[in-house]
Amino acid sequence: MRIVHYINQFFGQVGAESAADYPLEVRESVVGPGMMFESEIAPDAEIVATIICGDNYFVENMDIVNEEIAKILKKYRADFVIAGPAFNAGRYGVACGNVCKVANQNFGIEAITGMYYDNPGVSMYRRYAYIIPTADSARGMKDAIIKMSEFVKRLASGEEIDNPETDGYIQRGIRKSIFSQHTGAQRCVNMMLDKVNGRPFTTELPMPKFEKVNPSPGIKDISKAKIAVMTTGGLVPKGNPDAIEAGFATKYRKYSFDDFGGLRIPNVETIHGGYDPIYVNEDGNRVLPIDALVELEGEGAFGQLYNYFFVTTGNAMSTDTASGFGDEIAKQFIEANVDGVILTST
Amino acid sequence: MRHMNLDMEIINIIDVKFGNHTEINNGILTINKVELLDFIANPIFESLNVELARPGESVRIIPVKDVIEPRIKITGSGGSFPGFLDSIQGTGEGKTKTLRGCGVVTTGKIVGFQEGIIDMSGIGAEYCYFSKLNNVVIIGEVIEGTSPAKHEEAMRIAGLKAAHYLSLSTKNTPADDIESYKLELVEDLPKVAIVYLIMAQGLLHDNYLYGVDAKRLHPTLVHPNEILDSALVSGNCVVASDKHTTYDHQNNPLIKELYARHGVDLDFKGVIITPVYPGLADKERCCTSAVNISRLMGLDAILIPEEGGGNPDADLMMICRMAEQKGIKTVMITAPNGGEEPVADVTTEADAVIDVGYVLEKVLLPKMEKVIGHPEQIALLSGGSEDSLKNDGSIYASVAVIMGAHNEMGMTKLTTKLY
Repeated sequence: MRIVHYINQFFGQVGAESAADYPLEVRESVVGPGMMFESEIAPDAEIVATIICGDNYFVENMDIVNEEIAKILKKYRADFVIAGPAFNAGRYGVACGNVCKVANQNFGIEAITGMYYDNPGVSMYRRYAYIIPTADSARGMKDAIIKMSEFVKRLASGEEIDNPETDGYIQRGIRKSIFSQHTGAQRCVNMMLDKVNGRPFTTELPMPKFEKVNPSPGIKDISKAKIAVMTTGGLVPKGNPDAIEAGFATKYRKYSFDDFGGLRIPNVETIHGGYDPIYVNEDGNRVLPIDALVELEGEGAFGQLYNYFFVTTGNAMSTDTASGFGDEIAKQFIEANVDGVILTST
Repeated sequence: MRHMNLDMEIINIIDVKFGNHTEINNGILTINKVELLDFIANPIFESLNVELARPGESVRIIPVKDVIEPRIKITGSGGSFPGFLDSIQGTGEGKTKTLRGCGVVTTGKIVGFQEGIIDMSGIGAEYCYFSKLNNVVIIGEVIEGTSPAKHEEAMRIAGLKAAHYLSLSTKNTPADDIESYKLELVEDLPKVAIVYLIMAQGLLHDNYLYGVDAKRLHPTLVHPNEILDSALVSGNCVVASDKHTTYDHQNNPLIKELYARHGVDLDFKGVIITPVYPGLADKERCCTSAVNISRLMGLDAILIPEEGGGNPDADLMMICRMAEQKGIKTVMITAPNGGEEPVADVTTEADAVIDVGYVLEKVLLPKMEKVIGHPEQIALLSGGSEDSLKNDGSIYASVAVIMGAHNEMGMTKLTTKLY
């Protein structure tokens, strides 16, 4: 198994904080903590290259660095990536997580890194890597390398990695369907009997904790405000040119009056899978009330209408997808100096 | 006789074929095609046809609207589907004959976006209990200009009529097996009911209790035998994998499980049918009322299976919260729609939830030799996309397109795990 190892300037023995701007470099040798990894994982795997990069250089030049890492992983035909361990070092954790993300997303390569639980790299990158929990400083180096190496050997042997708790990695948040021994109905009645009889039971689906969003303060002067309208009602130009899905949508789009056929938006239909489309197909203003907003704009009820309309299908969309879309759309509103947004759902 | 006792006489159907007379011999259902088509004829249809799909065959049915098990009363009225094709009196007691192992499947050009797929073999069949049935597939195409609501209604009635027609053939067929459903009086065991959520959201998200549109219902207490005796009919075009077909109501696994444990571990007190409306005021009305009925019944616990996901998560959590605050224990059933944020609403009281499989998981369904229906309509199904249908005839889509794959009454053994 061919491994590419990533470390920062400090563990690469280039220098401490003063060398944090050190650009990315690749060496066909084993460096720093790689030595101990190599002795632990041999002969199942070998480190074929070591990437060294300054922490500041990495986070300040992420696009360039990512491209270079992708090239290196390809050139050295990496089967596997080890990054760090980064302990509680924030920038180093982000860099390690990002190397793992490139490996996982571009090549489907398994990646492993080690971090302290509170390292910001954990929440940002745990989806893309097996992150082994470590101590908060390099004093825990030996223990971290032993644990990470054991994990590498298990992966190298083709062993299936199971529970985060029993297998010692931080939960990645990847959900998979599996078959249980009993039907859902049997499990439901069993759990109910345990609960009602005061016996211990474990829920199959722990409830998430949603981030509370505080509403923005009210618009001070509505007469000058630029107002946008957007919908999860699946309103698209006829023929659905961008192939937005009826449910479980993977994309949103921005449409103009031109796309919708003019001020009265005649050239629209809905592809939302969650309701009878007949009424919206008769008049798209029923789900995206542009007619009323144009009228109100004319009457001076607010400053001006933003002339683009963000659209997606809300049907069966998971909340994390929705919040991802929301973050991106909000950025575009801010760039366009939009003051307020009306969201219509179905 | 105060108690409602229902004997379900089972006739096991092991094969299905066309022939001169509609009859059952040694488990083989023979169907006179012309007579069946005459029986379900309706001028709204431009074309109406029937085909057969047996377990293990290389056949795909798409887009599927509903699945129905043919059942008939052999005491009392002698009809099927009370409120639609039959009177109400006698439902849930006496004798009913059923064609176990047979399904009437309705298909034809799409009505809503949320109809599904049944593959009779391959990996799709592993996710789908309807693939194990000998299916009689009704293919109806309505005349152009028919509204989706009229289209749905016509297909729904055609399916019920076809099931009734097939059940008429059981008259002289002796039962292979009899299942008896009666709730004997029980003492000192936990009192349990199902708060049975049914979609009542309009715009093709509808269910019918005794023929009454659930949008006109307030929560109501029924005997489980009434459900087994076809009192609930689906007219529901929500996501295929986690909606309840008419077959699912007739064969409700939670009802069967509670019956199996009745008098042993628990006291099965009944079923509280609770419509799921889209708006908050109706949700509050129905959820409050479902919990009030539970309190009136002196229940110790309620089971709350969801139908669909997203909007109905709110009903699920509201009922859970209200019930737990009044000292009634709850267990919910849902299908997670998301990795770490698997539901759209939460409540801190929701500490007992059954998970019946991951709605967002993708599957590659291999090409089938024969397709009944319209394969290109995968592009319109919830869980499909314009790229789903491959040139070689295979389909790449979310498991959500497979009928019943995430049945929230707990029909299957599917669950999920977070890695």
